Amino acid sequence: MDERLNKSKLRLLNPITKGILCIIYILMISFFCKNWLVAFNLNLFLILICFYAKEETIELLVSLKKIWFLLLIVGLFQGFVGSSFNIFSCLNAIFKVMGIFLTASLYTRISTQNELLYFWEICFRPLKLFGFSSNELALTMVIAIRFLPVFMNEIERIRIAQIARGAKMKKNMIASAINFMPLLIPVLTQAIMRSEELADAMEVRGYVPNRPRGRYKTYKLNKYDYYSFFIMGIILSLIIYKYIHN
Amino acid sequence: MILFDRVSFCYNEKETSFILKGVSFSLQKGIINGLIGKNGCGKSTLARLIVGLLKPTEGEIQFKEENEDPNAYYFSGMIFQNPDNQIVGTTIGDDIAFGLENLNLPTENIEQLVVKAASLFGFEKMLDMPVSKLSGGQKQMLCIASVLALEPSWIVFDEPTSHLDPWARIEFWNIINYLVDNSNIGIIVISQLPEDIIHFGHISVLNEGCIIFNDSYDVFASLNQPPEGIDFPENIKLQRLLNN
Ligand SMILES: Nc1ncnc2c1ncn2[C@@H]1O[C@H](COP(=O)(O)OP(=O)(O)OP(=O)(O)O)[C@@H](O)[C@H]1O
Ligand SMILES: [Mg+2]
Repeated sequence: MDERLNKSKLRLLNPITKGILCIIYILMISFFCKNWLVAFNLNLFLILICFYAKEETIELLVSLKKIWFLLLIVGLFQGFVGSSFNIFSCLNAIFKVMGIFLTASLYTRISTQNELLYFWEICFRPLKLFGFSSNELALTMVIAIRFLPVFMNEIERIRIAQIARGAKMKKNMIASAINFMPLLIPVLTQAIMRSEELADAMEVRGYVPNRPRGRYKTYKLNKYDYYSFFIMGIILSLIIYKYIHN
Repeated sequence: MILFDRVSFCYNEKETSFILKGVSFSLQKGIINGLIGKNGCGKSTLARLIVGLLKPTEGEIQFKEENEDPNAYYFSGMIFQNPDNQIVGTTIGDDIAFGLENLNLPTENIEQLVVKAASLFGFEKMLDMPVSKLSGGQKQMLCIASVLALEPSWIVFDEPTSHLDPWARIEFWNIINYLVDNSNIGIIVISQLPEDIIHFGHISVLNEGCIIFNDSYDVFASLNQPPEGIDFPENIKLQRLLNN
């Protein structure tokens, strides 16, 4: 959750809207861009929307820094067709990867953890046919997210304890992976002990697996959801039209 | 009031080593009930029996209220040692809501009860704050808020102060004293620490499967010999030295 309390309109969208729009946008970029201009325009549109919604657009663009190397490689590989270099297919590939990255990071920026879970829980509902309970799956994910920082702290604590007892931690990657092994046993033991206590704590608070549960957070559709579906509909039709008539 | 009526318990059916051997005693509301005893004597087991995580092998545990409603449903909550191991939600609001969601209440009720419980601890403006950003003491408070949201008639605290720093301990005891004075919730605290024992109003000592002492703090402090398996806290020892 962002503590700056960013009230951009994108954040007000229903989690289902956010999820569906994000998926459609990524599919659109991946499969309907034959031409670099189309890919470029989709990127541009995304950035304009961010700007209009008063999202932190600059920060979003700066985050591209993380994948500059990937963009370069993809551009080079796609650019070489046979023996000559085609600048347009190079650009197309770059804008596609960039668009997917921007969409995904915008999605995680405008969604809280609860909203992500809410959406994925709904996506998992069809799994009921195979005997999985989407409720349980969602709760498992909540617990996983909840305990991630706890385990990171634990690993750090045990690592420091081992260094204090004379274990040497090397800097390079392979050596540090090997060094990680001795940490695994105590961390796993701790995890099992924790999970037993957590199961007890959940039971005391009335948790019974597979029993219907109430819901603390519910999300209603508001007018912005309808606007966004409408806009997305227009873009999708344009893109498909362009795809067919090209 | 909680009444233990000849309660026996062993973990394994085949085993003959009983953790509790026909224990009978009672605990009252309106006072802090302390449960002490040496390591492994079965304090946590007793706590689990009270909250219903375990069922007595023999005997029974009864809950009685003054103006009794025979159909009343008694819920007992429990606070475990490590706050980190009992927080289920990723945010403060989610964790307080967890127990209420289990009761399958409608959303509006859950929201109201969450705010009510959160405001006891000043959490009402922080409902969306991730749990990972809380200090140890705040996590403990969150655990208590989450149990209080369920309106229990009893709460058992199993070594609640062992993960807290001294300042958080003071805060913890303030909360407990507040609950004893201002609510109808029965309080049982399991602790080994001498500085906790001075907060108890009533003390029960468990040793080798039996309750060997069950009386008020004053009677405990005036015993000639400490009950088997434990030692007097420093302040009682000091008092005696001064008196001699
Ligand atoms: N799940 C279990 N299955 C079998 N035996 C158990 C189980 N849990 C505890 N015991 C045994 O029961 C006895 C009492 O355990 P309990 O945890 O109640 O003691 P305690 O007084 O809380 O100890 P501590 O001071 O260490 O918290 C111990 O001897 C322990 O080995
Ligand atoms: Mg114990």
